[in-house]
Amino acid sequence: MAGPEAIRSDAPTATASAAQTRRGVRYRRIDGLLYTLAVIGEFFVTFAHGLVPGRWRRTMRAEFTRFLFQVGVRAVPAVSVTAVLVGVGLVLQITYWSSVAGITEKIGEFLVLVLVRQAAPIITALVLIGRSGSVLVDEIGHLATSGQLRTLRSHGIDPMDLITTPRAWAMGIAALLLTVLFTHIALWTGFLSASLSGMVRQPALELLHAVFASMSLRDHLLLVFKPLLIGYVIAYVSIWLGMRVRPGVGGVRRVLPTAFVSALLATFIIGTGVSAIL
Amino acid sequence: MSDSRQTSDRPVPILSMDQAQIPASADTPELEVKLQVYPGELHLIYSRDRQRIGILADAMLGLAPVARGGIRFLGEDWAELSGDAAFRLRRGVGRVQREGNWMETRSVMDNLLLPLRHHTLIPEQQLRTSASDLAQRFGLPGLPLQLPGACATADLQRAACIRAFLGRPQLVVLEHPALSGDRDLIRPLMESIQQVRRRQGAVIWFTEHLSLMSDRGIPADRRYRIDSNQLHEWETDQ
Repeated sequence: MAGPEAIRSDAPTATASAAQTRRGVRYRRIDGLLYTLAVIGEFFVTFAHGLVPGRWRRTMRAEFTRFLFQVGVRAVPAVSVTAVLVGVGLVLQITYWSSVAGITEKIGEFLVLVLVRQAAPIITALVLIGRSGSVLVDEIGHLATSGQLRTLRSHGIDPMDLITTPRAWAMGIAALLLTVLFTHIALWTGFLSASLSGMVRQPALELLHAVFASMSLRDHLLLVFKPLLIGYVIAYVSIWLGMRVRPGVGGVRRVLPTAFVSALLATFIIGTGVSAIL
Repeated sequence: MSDSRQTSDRPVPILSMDQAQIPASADTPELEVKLQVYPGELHLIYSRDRQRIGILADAMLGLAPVARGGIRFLGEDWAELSGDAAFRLRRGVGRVQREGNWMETRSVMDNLLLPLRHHTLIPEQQLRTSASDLAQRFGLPGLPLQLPGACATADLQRAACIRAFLGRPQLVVLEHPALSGDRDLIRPLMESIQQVRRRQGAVIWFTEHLSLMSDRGIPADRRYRIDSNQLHEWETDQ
């Protein structure tokens, strides 16, 4: 056992060590903050690059078209089925209860508030995360671990240009178009099922007109920007994480849950944020 | 070529590594490299350590960090260049890697033409014609349209060489381009290398075959071997 002398002689060393640890923690926090700022900066730079038409080389345009088909056109059946189910469930319920409460003139407003502003962009995003997000992480993770990204860099091709920008924009555009499709299918099937079941006496076209008449400019802007931004971020997060997969045990599988949760959180944060602004 | 180095107005080296210390994996020491590659030169480097070759080739192209010293490509220090500028500079590089040459979801032809499609506005037809000509020189009937997974290894090796030499690169880095026993590849490879040298480009050829190092038919300006932690001149009696 150490005597009192030994304890006294150890005391300055322990104090110095604690100070070093505190300094280490502080540096790690600063590093972490700088890293986060760098990631955010990279996101905005990539986003801004995509807005400059001159930066879209023919390989990027080809990648955009290919990926838009892959995540957009191929997701039509999944989004359509989901929209039918939501239409029969949500729209039918709103229509029915509005009739019961005698406030059928408010059906349009309710539907804009619930379906157009909230449900359609978020449910479409969930379909995209499940259908394309994990595939994207897997594909890009494989490119990273097999050295294919290194090959691109060796030939002077920035993977951010060839892979991130076209795919993120394609996912954004796909999310926007699929959200519009989702909204229409959900509204039509909801109104049709309500008419067929005799819950409402108004014709479906009249109900649809009521919805569009209730939409303000802000609702239209939200319908464009919310899915566009959510789709872009889902793809960006998946690609960003995929590019950082390292070879070894687990590889891509270790990143998949993080990618899923990050995309989900981003969807809800952007959804809430855009709704609050618009 | 060696004469040009002795004159006072030396050309700028295409690649210059000044006592560069290349970090390695945990079980191998750092590699110290002093290398000057001038226009029109072919440098042959022997090593059986594929991982180390990959890291060294990456460092030459500014893709791997250097612990000490500097690496300059066309007079520009990789460490001082911005990301965009480094990518722009790498347009003039052709490379055959040991692994990871192919994006598996694209056909071999698309892989082959990707760099030129990305960097230039050369019409598609013209690109395909020049790539086809090069493919025929390398003994392929045309540009392979299959996915890389469906292509024979020897054909992929040839396709990798075609991509490296396509588009008048200033520096070509070949990491083990010829598989063992594939002697048929050497002749077209040498023709392409000579073409690069004639237009004042340079070639660095990594090999793991001793027979190539001692082959005097290969007109290398410099021959090296990688020792445990240094790049040494190859001695003729080795």
